[in-house]
Amino acid sequence: MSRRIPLKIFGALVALWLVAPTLVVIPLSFTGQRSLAFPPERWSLRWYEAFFDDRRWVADLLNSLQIAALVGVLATVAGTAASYALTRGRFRGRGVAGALLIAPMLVPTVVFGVGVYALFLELRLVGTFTGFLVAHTVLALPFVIIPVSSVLSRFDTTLERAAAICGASRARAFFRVTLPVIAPGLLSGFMFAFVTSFDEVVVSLFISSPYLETLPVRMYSSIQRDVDPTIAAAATLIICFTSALIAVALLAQSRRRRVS
Amino acid sequence: MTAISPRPAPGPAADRPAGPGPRSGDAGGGRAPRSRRPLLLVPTVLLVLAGFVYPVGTIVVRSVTQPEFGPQNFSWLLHDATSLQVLGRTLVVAALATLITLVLGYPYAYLMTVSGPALRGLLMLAVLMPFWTSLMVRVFAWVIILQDHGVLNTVLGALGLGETHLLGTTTGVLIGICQLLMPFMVLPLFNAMRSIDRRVVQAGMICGAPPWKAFWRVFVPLSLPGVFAGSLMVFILSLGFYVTPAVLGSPRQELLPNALYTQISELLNWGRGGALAVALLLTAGVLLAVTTWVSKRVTGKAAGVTGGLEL
Amino acid sequence: MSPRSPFPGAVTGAFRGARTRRPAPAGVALATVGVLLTAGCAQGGPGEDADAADLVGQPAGTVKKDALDDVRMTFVSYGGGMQDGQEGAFVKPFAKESGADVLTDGPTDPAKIKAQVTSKNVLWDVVDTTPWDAAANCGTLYEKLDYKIINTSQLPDQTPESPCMVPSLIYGYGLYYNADKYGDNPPTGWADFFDTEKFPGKRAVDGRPTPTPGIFEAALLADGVGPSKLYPLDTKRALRKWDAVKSDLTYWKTGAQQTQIAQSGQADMVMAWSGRVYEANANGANFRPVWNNSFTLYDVFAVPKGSKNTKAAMGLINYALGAQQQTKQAEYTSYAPVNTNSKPKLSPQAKKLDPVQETVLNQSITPDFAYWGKNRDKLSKAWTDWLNR
Repeated sequence: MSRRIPLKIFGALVALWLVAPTLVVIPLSFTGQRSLAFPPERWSLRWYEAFFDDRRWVADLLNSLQIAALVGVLATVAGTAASYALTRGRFRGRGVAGALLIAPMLVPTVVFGVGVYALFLELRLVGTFTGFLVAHTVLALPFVIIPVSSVLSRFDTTLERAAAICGASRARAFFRVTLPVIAPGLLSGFMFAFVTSFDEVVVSLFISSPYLETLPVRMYSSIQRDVDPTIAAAATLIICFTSALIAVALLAQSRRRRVS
Repeated sequence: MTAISPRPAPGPAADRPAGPGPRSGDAGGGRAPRSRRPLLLVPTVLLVLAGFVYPVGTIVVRSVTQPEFGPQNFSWLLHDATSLQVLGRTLVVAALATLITLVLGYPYAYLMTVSGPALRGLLMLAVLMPFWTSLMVRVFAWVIILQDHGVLNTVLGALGLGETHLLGTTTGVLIGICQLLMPFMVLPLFNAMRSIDRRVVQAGMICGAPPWKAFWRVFVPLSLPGVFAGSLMVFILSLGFYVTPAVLGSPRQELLPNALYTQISELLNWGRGGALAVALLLTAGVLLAVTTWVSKRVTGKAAGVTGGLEL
Repeated sequence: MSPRSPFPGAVTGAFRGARTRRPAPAGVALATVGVLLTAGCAQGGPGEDADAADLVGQPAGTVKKDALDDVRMTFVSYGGGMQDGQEGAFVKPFAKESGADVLTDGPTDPAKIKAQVTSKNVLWDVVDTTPWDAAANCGTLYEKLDYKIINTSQLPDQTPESPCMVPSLIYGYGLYYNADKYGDNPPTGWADFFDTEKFPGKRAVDGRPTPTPGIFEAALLADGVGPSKLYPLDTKRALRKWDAVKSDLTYWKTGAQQTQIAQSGQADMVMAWSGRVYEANANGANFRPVWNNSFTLYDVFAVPKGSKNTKAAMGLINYALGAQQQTKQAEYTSYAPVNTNSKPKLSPQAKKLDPVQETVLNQSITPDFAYWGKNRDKLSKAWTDWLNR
């Protein structure tokens, strides 16, 4: 084992590079100055006050959460239906359909963003809730379809047929038998879709307006336009939020393991 | 989508690799006619057609119709020194990002395969951070670190290593991009390596090969599908970065997505923007095709990239 | 690899590892649904425009109480501390008094205004912009202002140079240096800005595609052209001068970046807007002005053509021009007021950067806005090409 020590050091350094830089925003959010200088010379909580006092920051955070939650639901439903058809069905054009549905992941986002911008200008959807839902759902679909299809294709279909033999309708068999088994896949699909939308910035930059923008768009314009540590407070809140999600996920996992 | 269009689907199930028993058994099972199932696909496909294919198609069409029908935008692209430079720089950055993540990711993924569950869990958690932490948070953090009087220079100064100037340079952009793309390299590598039977490497050593040679001649070739998959993913994704170069880079060293953004949202030049978009799409498509071909040649199967597509 | 997966292995492969350790708790789904239910939907575009009758004839600095109750409108400026100052001085008070919901955006970008107007997707109602842009595009990109709503009687010049704008503030644009670095032997004029032997150090300059007037003028002045002989601008000569120092330049793209660069010490000399240097100094930097041949400029309020809230926009502009509002704006930002009755009490820091003090006006230059307006595209292209070279 000892000859792996250099490898371990290397791994530790890479892990450090992956994780540590992001954490720098936490101390910065407690700076006492209107400055991004690091380390801060004085400390305060004023940027958290600024965040919660500023209607725009809070509104954008709520917009992001709402859009992400709805996109999570939409993409999970649409993606699961599609995955079911793709993995169970046998029809011409199945490969094309599969490729089509995951294309949004492979086409450079900025190209998609420009296209959606063109379309939304025509349809007057720039800066609308509907616009965000459509664009983000399309982007999130692959992230649902991939894990869900993978779970579905490993699923033993004899269970479904057993249910059918016992007289269950196809829908009933799906909801009573298939769904519980593939639920973890669905949930991770939902999480992926949620995060995809919550984090999306390039397409959102094109389709947002002062009347409706999301948190990442606000952060982007804050970096570009202001010297304002409020963004550090926002970033710290996001880090806490996602860390809490991961912690809950890990806890749930360990509990499930104990149960089974 | 041209970039990953599969070959015309061959006859059903004919050349599908024989799956394990129960799965292939469902081919004729079930009571409902199979043809009903695509119905479930219809709403989703319609959504993607309207919300993705149509918009992207519009941009492609506009590249040859705006301001008038003809190839003028492409001849601009191919004759304008600045945009050629931007195109070249984008390709170089994407290639470098691929190389760097591969060099850093390969040993990392290897360490993951050979280490115990606890260490592997930690390494996995670290590599998955980019999925969980907001892109904007990470980019902002890099600004704090790379700025001239930022964390990095403070550390370098304390170590007596002198100062660097990274914010506003392509190097700064690369540092940010590589960090964001690491999971897309490490995960396919890890998956490929995990499925390698380590006894094969031991066999090589038993046959008298020194460890490094056994590793190089036996392990590395077996991990190539992961290398291809990861590199492809990283290269394609790094072509599309807008925010990172806009924040960490310099306006004087634009990358293609930034030039595209400027053309559309500031100059309203849909034609030239469209031409740039087509250039991005073509690059990604050609790359996908070439990697598939090479991967097939080298690893003897296309499974690494599009195998699943040929149903 | 599951043989039945209908997707490229590369793609699915990237997620396989993730999938196995990505269990998602049902609680999260519940929590997000909760957010949906409680947050309500706070979006939508602009509401109805105001009724002109409520706005006509109001003295500058006033608006009828609750006159704009159903209005949702936008105010756009150059961001950072300057925009914060403007919001504090008149945007928020206006919103409170009139009942309008005023959203803010920025930074002002002539390209974006053009894009909004041409694509008929006008999202900005009041913009703090440049006189040369507003004057040159009056009637095409900007609405003609309604002087029945906007009271100009307290402006220094009661008929603005163009019917599409009124001044919003006065600022200085020039050379500022780090006093800690140059100490007893500071730079004294543009020639020193271009003399990197005598004055080593990074310089920060305008890196935007549409630069503030002065960028060519500064180089020509440094090259020995007299202030009265600057126009028409010899851009080739100016850019040759810039060539000589290019390796010592760093670029700002927004006002806030000027502040950031000065504050973090990224550059020792900045060619910047006076208020941004004031902000940097207020946060610990020590930059001093060189007023000799600096430029005195002003911003204007204008309304993009096709704004959905033109009436309400003019109401906000009229409110912003009040003596009290202009005084507050000056005290917050150090930029000089445009209302003749406005007498701000500047802090000592702000006083040092006051662009309308006697000593400054005596030695500063006003760029030829008409020339810049007429030649904007040509000048912008020259600068952008040089930046990208």
